[in-house]
Amino acid sequence: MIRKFHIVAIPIRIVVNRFGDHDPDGMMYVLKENESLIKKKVDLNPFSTVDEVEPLVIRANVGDEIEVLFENQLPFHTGMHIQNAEYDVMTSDGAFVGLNKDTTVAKGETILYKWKVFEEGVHFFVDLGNPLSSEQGSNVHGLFGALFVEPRGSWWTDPVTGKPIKSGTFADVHNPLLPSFREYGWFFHDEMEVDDLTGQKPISPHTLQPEATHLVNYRAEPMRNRMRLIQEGVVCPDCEGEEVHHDSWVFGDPDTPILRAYVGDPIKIRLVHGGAQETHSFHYHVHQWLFEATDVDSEIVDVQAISPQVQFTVSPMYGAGSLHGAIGDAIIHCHLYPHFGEGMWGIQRTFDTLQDGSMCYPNGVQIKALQPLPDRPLPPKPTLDRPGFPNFIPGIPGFKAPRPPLGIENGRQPTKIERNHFAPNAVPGAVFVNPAPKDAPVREYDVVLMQMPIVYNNQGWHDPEGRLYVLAEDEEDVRCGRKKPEPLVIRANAGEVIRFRFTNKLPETVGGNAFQLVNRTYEAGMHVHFVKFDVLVADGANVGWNYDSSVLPGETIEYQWFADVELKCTFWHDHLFANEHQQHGVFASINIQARGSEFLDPYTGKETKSGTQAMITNKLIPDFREINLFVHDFALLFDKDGCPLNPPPFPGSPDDPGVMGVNYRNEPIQFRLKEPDCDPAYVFSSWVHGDPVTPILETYNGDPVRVRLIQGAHEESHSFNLHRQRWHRERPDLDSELDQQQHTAIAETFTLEFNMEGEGDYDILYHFGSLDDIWLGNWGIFRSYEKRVKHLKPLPDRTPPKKREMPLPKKTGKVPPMAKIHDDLPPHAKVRKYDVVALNTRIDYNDAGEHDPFGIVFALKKDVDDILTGKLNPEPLIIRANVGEYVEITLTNLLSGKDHHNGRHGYPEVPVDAFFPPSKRISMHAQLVEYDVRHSDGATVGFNYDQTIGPGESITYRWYIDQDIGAVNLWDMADIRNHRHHGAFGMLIAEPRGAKYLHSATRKEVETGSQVIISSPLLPEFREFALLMHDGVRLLDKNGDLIIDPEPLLFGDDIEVEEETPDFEDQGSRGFNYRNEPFRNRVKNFNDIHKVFSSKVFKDPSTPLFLAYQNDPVTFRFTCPADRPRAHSFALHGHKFLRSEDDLNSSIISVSGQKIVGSNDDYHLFYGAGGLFGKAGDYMYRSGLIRWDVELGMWGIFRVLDKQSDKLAPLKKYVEGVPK
Amino acid sequence: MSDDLAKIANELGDGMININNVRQSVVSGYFQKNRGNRALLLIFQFPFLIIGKIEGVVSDYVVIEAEVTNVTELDGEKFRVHIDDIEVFYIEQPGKPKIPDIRNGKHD
Repeated sequence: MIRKFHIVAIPIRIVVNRFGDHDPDGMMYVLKENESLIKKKVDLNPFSTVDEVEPLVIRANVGDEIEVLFENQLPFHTGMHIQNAEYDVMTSDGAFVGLNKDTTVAKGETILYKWKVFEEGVHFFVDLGNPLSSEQGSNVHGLFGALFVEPRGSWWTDPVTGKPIKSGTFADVHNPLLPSFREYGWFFHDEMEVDDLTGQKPISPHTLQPEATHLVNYRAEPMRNRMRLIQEGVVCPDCEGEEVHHDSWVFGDPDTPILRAYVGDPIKIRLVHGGAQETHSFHYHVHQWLFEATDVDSEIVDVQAISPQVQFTVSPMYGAGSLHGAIGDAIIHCHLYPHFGEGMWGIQRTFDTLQDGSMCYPNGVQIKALQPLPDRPLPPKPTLDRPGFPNFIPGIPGFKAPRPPLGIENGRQPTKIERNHFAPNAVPGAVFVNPAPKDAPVREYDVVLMQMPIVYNNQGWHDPEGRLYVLAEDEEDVRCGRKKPEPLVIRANAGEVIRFRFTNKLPETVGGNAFQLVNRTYEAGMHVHFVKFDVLVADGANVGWNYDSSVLPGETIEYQWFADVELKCTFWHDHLFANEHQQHGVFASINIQARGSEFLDPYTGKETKSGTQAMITNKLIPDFREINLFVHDFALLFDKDGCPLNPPPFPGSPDDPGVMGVNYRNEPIQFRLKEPDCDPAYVFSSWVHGDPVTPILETYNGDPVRVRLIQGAHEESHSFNLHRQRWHRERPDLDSELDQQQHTAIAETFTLEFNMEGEGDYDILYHFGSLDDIWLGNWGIFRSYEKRVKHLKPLPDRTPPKKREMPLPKKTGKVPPMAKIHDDLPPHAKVRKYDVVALNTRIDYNDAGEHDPFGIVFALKKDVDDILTGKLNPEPLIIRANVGEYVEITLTNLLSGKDHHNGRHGYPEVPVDAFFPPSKRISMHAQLVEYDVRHSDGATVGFNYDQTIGPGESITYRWYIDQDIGAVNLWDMADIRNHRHHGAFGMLIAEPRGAKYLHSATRKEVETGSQVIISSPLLPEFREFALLMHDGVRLLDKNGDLIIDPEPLLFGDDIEVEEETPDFEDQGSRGFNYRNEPFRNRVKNFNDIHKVFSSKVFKDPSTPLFLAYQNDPVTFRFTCPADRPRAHSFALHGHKFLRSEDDLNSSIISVSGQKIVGSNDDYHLFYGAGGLFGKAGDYMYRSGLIRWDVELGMWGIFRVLDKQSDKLAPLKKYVEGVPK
Repeated sequence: MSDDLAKIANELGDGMININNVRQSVVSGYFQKNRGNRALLLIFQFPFLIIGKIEGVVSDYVVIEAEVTNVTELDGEKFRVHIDDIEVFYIEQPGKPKIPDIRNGKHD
């Protein structure tokens, strides 16, 4: 079927809430037929939101052809670039790339785009005619939308009227064979330049400083406006702000999306990131969904990180209200607290009675009709005795939501109408729905939330206002120091009811220092993820028309959770003043174990009720050791002298204040330099410095381990990296990728399951990837013993370890001896040897002369002379080995140790900078390969021997490629601060057995290179393109002057653009494979911005130019070796690949998100070069971050040729199975 | 060739042994022989684990009354499991280890 749309890009004033916050220079796509109506409505309502002003969503069915007549009314070239669809890159790319024709259009012009769609789900479209990062660009002003593709034979209607619709973010979708479902488009976007009603930058009434706005579907409901109403005495005079930010009793409903459904309605949220910069954390209260919507084996999640231009479908299991049919308001929000506070939230509203438009909310606003889905039972009509949600709740509009019935000790009695809505098995804490089966076993906990100083390290970094949950029975021990403070971890078994008595013992205020103004934090609760609970009374939050399920200081409330089958590590925290105090430590976990498990203390062997570490024993499944790691940023710490560590520009600023921690501990590497050498190569060494104060997991060799990874606070991305051990990305799915790294955003939880592989006694390093994390001390050790140690109980079902004869090592203060390979290769082992040299050299990043004079690269020994004489501009070392082979790397250190500084690095900066001279030593660590950590880890960790080498020295590492692990990172572990961002990294690729690596033009065998042909005797040949995406680079321009990135590219003298000072995570230049192509070196005139990617106007970019013939099989190998905590996304025009490469059930995508230090991926392109239709042309690969990646040069070209070229040898042709 | 196998070969009429039939016959037969005993099944589909008494075998389906599964709500339900869906099983025999009880509470 052909569907035709006439779409116009228009300038439009976008009002984002009823307080008049707006983008005067907004831009949007609209259907031509709605254009004049929308413009008229906006003209008539300049200070109000207009329903039709929302990101454009059009719909089609799988298999449809779509023709878009696109018309531009903006004063620069624009277009529509679509993802995941098949199209001709020469006519429908919506961009002007390489040698392609220009498929953007000038003002007043039109163009016809043709797309074909084959997969259900979101097909995001965005303008690439003006990809500038600043206010002068189109993206931050809203020029994006999506095509939602539905199952074949579907049609869609308006949820209010039931009539067919042609566009709109919300629709009810129907199908003759499948159940009808409610579809909600949810577009996160950021960096829109929102002004307040008066046209000024919005000011927070709390800090009196300007504040950013974070949006959903061109709407934002930030705290600042609602707080002002409190301060002005309009509503809720006794309130503070955050505790009622989401309270509809006080303010009425927000202007952000409210997703309305009846209990049990099937739901698909089409989640789209239309923004420019931030990786957000999508969280949906009460509901859970499959990580891969298309794969029933997939992991169950309820928080999911999403990077710019990424999209996926969130289809909650059991529909609206989840398994237990919870009625009420479930908030949906970005869990990054500053974003949440600045407006990025909405509500899923689940009704239990029919809404035909005749009812009102308690504040008198009409409840719009909601058409019941035709194949669902009709909900009962509301009656006076049983009016249904929200009209049975005895609240008063303008005042805070009432407290729940039953749960609060010495609280009020329920009203008669409330009682009429009680569940038959109502108990305190589970009143209107109680999912617990009769006779389900009950586990009880008494929890206290309290404040005490928490010391994070031996240097006296401390939080004077540490806040934490503890079990009531441990409160005294923790307060008086008999028990160390750590995040509370409790446990329960699947099928159990968990009942809580929660007491709020926090002081009434927090802050009053360099980090925070004094703020009331007088209410608190326990908001939990995953388990099943009554959202009205046990959400531990105050949302919409629900009750306020928190308590005042000194009060106690009962909550009930039911742990159903989902075995998860489950996050909980406070939801009332989370923005103000979660970063002080208000986060915890309940780990749900398999039925019949018992939880033992690993050191005493006795049953334990809480603790971040435990041995879990079970009669049916193997016993395992469990450790919870809570990573945490915005830790508002002071040093031993009481000076704030990395204070923000003003108290209360969300601009990345404070430091970081793991389980309320950190071990900053600046304190681990030992005089006189102060060599960073030994910062992880326990021989030199003793063990770090961060959590250490102790095991015996071979023990099963589950790491429960949680981000507890507050705004950054983190990247958990573990040496040597591997796990499946999705624990229940053996087809999911083998991983050694995991990106995490706040509130995400992961279970990393593995057996502790290795021989002898050894230490392995874990760290959180980015320079900022490691610098601030987010790293630690897992320690494994071969023989019995007195203090650690063996797992009950494992063979007891042998008696130990030798004592355990102790800190000596001396550099450990050098590690050496001490075992022989097995007979007949196939060994691939690489002679690698580490050297200092200049790296030229582009043809404009931008360069790193202090580059540190790994290179093959044979290339060293060419590099040093300037014949060869180095690329990162890319080496390959086949599955089943051993790899022996002999690394020689030719570093001179020169850098631009003598101890203080400066730009790109880190928080809490300090003296940290460059190391002259070097090493090489590899991900995912198998090796003996005692000699081939490439890191000098714990009580392992030294695996770094000094100038002139050599070392051999031996790795085994046991399976197809694809591309992995190689990097130096001798000096994270001074080496990695200068280029001390590479890539190792595991290839099929028997593969040969051929030069792409000559077909001669090669040892390295980013662009090769992989030829194997059994499989079809394919082209392999290797990309290393890296940031935090320190470049000089052609005159030798330092380039400070990111600096937005602005045109015109009269431009007043207030750009924020970049966060630490954004500092530095960036590129692919030591190359970039910043816009600043190409475009000098604003009118030329649409030409920036064109090789016709400029030349080909300096980034790798990948060549293939039409339909050639192609694999992109992608890694992210360095350096900062800013997560990126990777987009490839016109091609699709599987999100999880080995899992045919995983989603088909063309943009992959959460790329951060340690990421490694393999993108096997569907249908080969040129997509399904094998179209020749130039396809852009790039970052998805319009701010600032693309502008700073993170883009390049994949060129599909239709004519034979000398530059590219053809692949072997296969005819009827016989290679020719 | 054992009598059982000979019988099957005879039934098939071609004198050849069909390994699927053999497997079906042997596995079904084993469950049949152990009617009334407790069994532990790991199956590919939800709910993955079933522990309970074998009630009988109908063609190539085992009928089992679950004492325990790993989903509380399904305890006590009767399941009909196709033998091809059973990945792993164990049937209690006198003198052999007992299948442990994983219901909550203390156990030995």
